[in-house]
Amino acid sequence: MKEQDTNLMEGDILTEEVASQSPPKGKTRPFIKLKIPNIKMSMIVEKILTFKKPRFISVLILFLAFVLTLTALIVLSSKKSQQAETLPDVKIATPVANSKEIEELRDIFKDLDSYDEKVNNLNDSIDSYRPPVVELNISF
Amino acid sequence: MSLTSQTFTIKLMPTKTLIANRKSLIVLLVTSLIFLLLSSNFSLAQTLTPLERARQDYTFQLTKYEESKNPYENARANYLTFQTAVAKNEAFLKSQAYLLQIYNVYTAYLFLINERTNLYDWGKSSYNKDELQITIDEEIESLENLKSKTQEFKTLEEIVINAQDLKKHIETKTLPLAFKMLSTTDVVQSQETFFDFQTNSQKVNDYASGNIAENYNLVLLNWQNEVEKLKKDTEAKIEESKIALEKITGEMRIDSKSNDFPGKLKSAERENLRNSKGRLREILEFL
Repeated sequence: MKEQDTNLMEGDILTEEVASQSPPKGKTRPFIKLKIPNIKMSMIVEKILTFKKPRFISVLILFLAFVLTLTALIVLSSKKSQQAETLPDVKIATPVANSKEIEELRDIFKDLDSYDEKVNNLNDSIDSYRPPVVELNISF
Repeated sequence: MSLTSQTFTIKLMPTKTLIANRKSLIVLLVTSLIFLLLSSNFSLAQTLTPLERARQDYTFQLTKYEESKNPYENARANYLTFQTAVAKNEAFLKSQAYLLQIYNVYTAYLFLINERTNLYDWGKSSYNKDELQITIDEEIESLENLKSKTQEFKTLEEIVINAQDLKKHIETKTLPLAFKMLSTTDVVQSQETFFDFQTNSQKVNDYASGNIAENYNLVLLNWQNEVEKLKKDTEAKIEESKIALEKITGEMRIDSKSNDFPGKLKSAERENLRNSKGRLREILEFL
């Protein structure tokens, strides 16, 4: 065998080895096709508009109305309490300079007001809770 | 087919569906109305105080009592006239219902007077609320036990005997206890108000002494004497009420047909306390 032929053979072996290590050309990973359902918006809208189950619709409307009314009531009640909480503190302007004395006098009047209320409640006595008149003589 | 090229066609509901929906609309309206009425009633019930609720229940039980009275009286009259087994059975049924309603009335009454005790500050008095409330709870329980027995009766004779026992129980135990509870609450209320009178008169006196003009010193002195006199007089009257309260015992008998309690406390201290209202403010006008 000549030296030239030997070189050619080596070259062939090398190209075969390289070819076996590298992935075969054209054979890439298998492509998985995702099946996307063919949803048509028009069909959905049409189905909703032509829905023919009155009982189901009634129940749905009732449920929605219930939820809406409940929410409205909760919102209304929360608004009321918020209003009550954020009432502005009315301060009465007085020409007298000594604010400590005024504060003290204001407290006294406040206490006297609640005392007056207590005195007015003295009308609530035993007379407001008379015993029931009941016929207990059951005889035959 | 692309979305852009799609033409929308709106189909109107068929007549049958429309009729069905009209029905559902009516159902919806009625349900909404009921719901709104219920919610408004619920909010009203929420605004009632426990005492108001107890009074409402008591009034309701009284109305039910009046409603059960006529059927009982008619059944009784029928049985006494015809003396038949059917009439006797009817008399038994109506008497039982009537008797059970009487239990409800007295139980609701005890709940009402028990709830009244919560209006006042017993800490400013010389009485113990818990002790009294326990006795009321025990009485309610004994009435409930008697009621359970009545429910088990099968004959008219048993009902008659039970009614006699109940009458005795109400007149010797329930009503004296209610009387004691109400009278004690009255004294506690007076004591609480008197306590506040003393506190407020002291505050007014302190303020007036430091701020009154010199030419009104005599006015202040006379006012102080008046307040002191009022205090002593009220204190003495409260002591009188307390002594009278001790005389209310469980051995007394109160007629169930009476619409009032015999031998009630005079509670004369209340008149003094009513007069004290103007007295406390009087001196502040001179400042």
